[in-house]
Amino acid sequence: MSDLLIEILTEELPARFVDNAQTQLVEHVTAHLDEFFIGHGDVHGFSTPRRLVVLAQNIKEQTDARTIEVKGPAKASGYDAQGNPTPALLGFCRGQGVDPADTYVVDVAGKSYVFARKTVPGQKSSELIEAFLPRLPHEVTFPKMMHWEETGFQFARPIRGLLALLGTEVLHWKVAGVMSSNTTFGLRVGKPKSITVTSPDDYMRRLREAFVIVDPAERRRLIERQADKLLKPLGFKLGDTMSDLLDEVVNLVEYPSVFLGDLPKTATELPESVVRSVLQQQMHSFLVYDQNGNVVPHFLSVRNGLTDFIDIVRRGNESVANARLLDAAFFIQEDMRESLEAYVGRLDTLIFMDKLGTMAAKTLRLERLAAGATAYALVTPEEEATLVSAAHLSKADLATSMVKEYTSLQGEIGSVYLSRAGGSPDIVFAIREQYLPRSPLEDIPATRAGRLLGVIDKVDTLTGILGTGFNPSGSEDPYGLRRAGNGIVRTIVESRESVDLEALVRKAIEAHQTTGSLPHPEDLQQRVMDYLKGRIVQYFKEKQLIREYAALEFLPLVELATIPERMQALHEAAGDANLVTLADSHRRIQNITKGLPTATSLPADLLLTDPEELALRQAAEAAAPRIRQFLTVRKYAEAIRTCEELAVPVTAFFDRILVMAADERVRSARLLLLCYLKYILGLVCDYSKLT
Amino acid sequence: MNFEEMVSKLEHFWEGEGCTRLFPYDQEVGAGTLSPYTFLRVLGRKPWKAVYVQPSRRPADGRYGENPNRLYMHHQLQVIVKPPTTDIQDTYLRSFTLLGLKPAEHDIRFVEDNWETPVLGAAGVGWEVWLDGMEVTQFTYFQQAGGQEVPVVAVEITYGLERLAMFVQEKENVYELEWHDGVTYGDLRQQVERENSIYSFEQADVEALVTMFDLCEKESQRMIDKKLITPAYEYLLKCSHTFNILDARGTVGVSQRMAYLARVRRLAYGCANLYLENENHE
Repeated sequence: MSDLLIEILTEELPARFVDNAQTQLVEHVTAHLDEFFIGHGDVHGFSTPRRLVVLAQNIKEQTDARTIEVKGPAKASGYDAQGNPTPALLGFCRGQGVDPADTYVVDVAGKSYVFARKTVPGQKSSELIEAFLPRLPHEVTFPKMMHWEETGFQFARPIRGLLALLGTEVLHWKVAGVMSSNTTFGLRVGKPKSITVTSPDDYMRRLREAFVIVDPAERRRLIERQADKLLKPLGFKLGDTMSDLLDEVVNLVEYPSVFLGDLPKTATELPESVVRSVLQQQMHSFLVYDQNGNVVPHFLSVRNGLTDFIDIVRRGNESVANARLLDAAFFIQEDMRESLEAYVGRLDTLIFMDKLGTMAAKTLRLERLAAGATAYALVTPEEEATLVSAAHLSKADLATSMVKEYTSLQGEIGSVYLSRAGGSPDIVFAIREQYLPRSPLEDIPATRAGRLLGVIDKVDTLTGILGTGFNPSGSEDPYGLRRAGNGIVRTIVESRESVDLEALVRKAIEAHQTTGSLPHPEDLQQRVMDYLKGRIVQYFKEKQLIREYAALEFLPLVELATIPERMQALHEAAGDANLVTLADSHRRIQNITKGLPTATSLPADLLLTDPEELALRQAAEAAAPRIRQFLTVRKYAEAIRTCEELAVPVTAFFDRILVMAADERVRSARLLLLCYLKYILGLVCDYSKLT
Repeated sequence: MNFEEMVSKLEHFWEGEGCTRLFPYDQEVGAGTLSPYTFLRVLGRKPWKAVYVQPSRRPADGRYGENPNRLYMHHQLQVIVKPPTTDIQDTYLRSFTLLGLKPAEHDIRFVEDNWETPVLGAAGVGWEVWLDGMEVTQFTYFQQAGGQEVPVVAVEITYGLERLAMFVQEKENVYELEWHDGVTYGDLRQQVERENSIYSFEQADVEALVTMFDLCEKESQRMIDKKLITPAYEYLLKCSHTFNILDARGTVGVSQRMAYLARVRRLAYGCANLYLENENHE
């Protein structure tokens, strides 16, 4: 047994593609080994910005001989009337190398076929592997591909080397004009020198000597350890949200050397978000904090290469950081010559989205929605006025030089400028928070105005894009609809801020129609609501609360904010014996009254005579007003408990009473009683979904 | 090493790699890519290797000669290698040693950056190259031009000469660069930067420029109809620059902007089609 090592050497792959490509390659190699019955041990993947590597351990030299069944002609065409093999069958046997006497007949889906059993001899693994190697690079896909040579082959970046070793045996393959060899290259330092490798173990060893660490996990550990060593003695640390950047940096280097650089004094005077953007987005470097969480005028960066001459690299990076921060300071100073209000007037030069007009039009719509907030949210007139002001200024920063330069700072820059100009804190926060949550990990807005502005903005986007006729069913999400939808759902559910989405969406459609055309307004209300419902289901699925949600799904969307409390109440009642009984009874009630409308009250002269039916009626009529009262004051646990009180009389009713009585009047009275129960229980929960 | 020396070393280096050394195209362009030496020559199947300096005007980036890093006009060294050699990255890295930069002493990175010029229907895949954190080159494999997939890929290497010179000369301000011994970049360019910024932000006559755009567009289209690629393309370049000034002047609304870009693109597609037609005839 020997190990198999495969390397695809490329020009620098985009960091964001590397992990996924490594995973794909491992999957494909494993699938091919299995497909050809090649015995193997673990299959590991490695990668750097310049290479995708697979190490499959313990490959058996030969595959085992196998017996397989081959399906031949139908029996009817395989034998003639006398039962002798026909030319068709003889041909099949010749082709498979079997004796006609060794064939047999099997029924397949009601029809008889001739089968042959034959032995496939063991094959050399190396030959089988060589046969599938050229397919591998074709099977790896990237979000963006390119071509670079005459065959038109597509990959993320040009392939410059191929290598495969099975033990010490060099395997031969060719892709996109590149021939495999037993050589590779190390880290780019000075003149490239090719390295000859003799075995998988030798590959790992030789690359390490050539300053390439192929295991991304090891590079990550090295970066963390080196960073610790530099920062700890100074009492500094990295921020809490560095993990994404670290993932990226790991895939920007083949051999990491961490260094600490100095920032100019300007850095501590600029807004932290600006410094973070300059360093993290533009320079892939890390902000450094003291123990109190304040930014210190240093940054941490990772060189691709050794520590030799690292001071030169540090100085270069420092001067770039310096220039960029000065540039940002300059932009801020220039931008602030005018008030944020002045930038609102320039929003007609910025397009919101194709077919949906300008940012000026979007601002008008948001103001309009904010001004009518009492129609869909519980806001005071003061809160509504704050929301209108925030909506008016919400997109102004998009016209500033800073946001044009650093688009990810939208919202942030507007709030910084307004706050420096002495704007009201409520509005400052709302502008900053309107884009939250930008990812599943990020919190929802902390302020009321921030939440409402965020929801209005996202509903406007969602409505507009669905109104262009865009069909969101595919896996791609080019307009960020999913993020908008998730943001709306999370904001309402997690803040328990009651918003009547149905009404808000209706107003959003009206607003779009006043600022311009909506190419596809047909069924738009329904399409937006369906989309939001889909996001709600998804949200509770991810929270593993889908069973609980199923019991509450019947609620109108205006109740979305109450769902967590309702779930909490259900959760508390989960152990109650009566709840189980009630769930069964609710299901029976639903089945028996299927197709019948709920009854919100019972006539006084209803024909009920048996004690069980009378008891149930009495209990139900006593419970109904209490349940309605509890719901009004959002006391869901009490509402459930009151429903549970009906469990005993309902069970007694079903035990003793035949609903489908022969007498039509008796039967309909009993059904009406159950329709009334269906109504009462249905105010609180669909208990039947809990069985 | 002063600016002119750095430029001539790089030019000679690429000349040694088989590139034809050309002079800057004598018209205003926003980038070396717009020069017909790039845009037309990357079309079709014919091999092409060239190196040239291209002064590139971006009116909206003007800063009145006051910002140490931003310019109305900067200089690009443009290298086109079509089809690319398999060691093109190594060749490029070797060019640094001529500038006294030893790769082992620095951190040179190829960081993903894909480039697109919608106005030419051109797009490419590649990197920005970082030298100790400073972006000094755009390195691109052309994938599309004139709205079509290119049949033979060209590599475009665009050195940002001011950036690179600031790195080599260790200067924080572009105007302090030594162009020639005793002559600074500021001596040559600062006043020009100021004047051109004033012009494009404050003085440009919008009405006249709009008319100029219309006239140049008409003339370009007329030449496309006559199948005269060069004049057609040269009038396209005039359109493009005129639009850039209008854009900097801040008078172009969003929908207008899209319309202008579409008009230039239509001319670019027209020229590209003519060029390809010609190549197919040969």
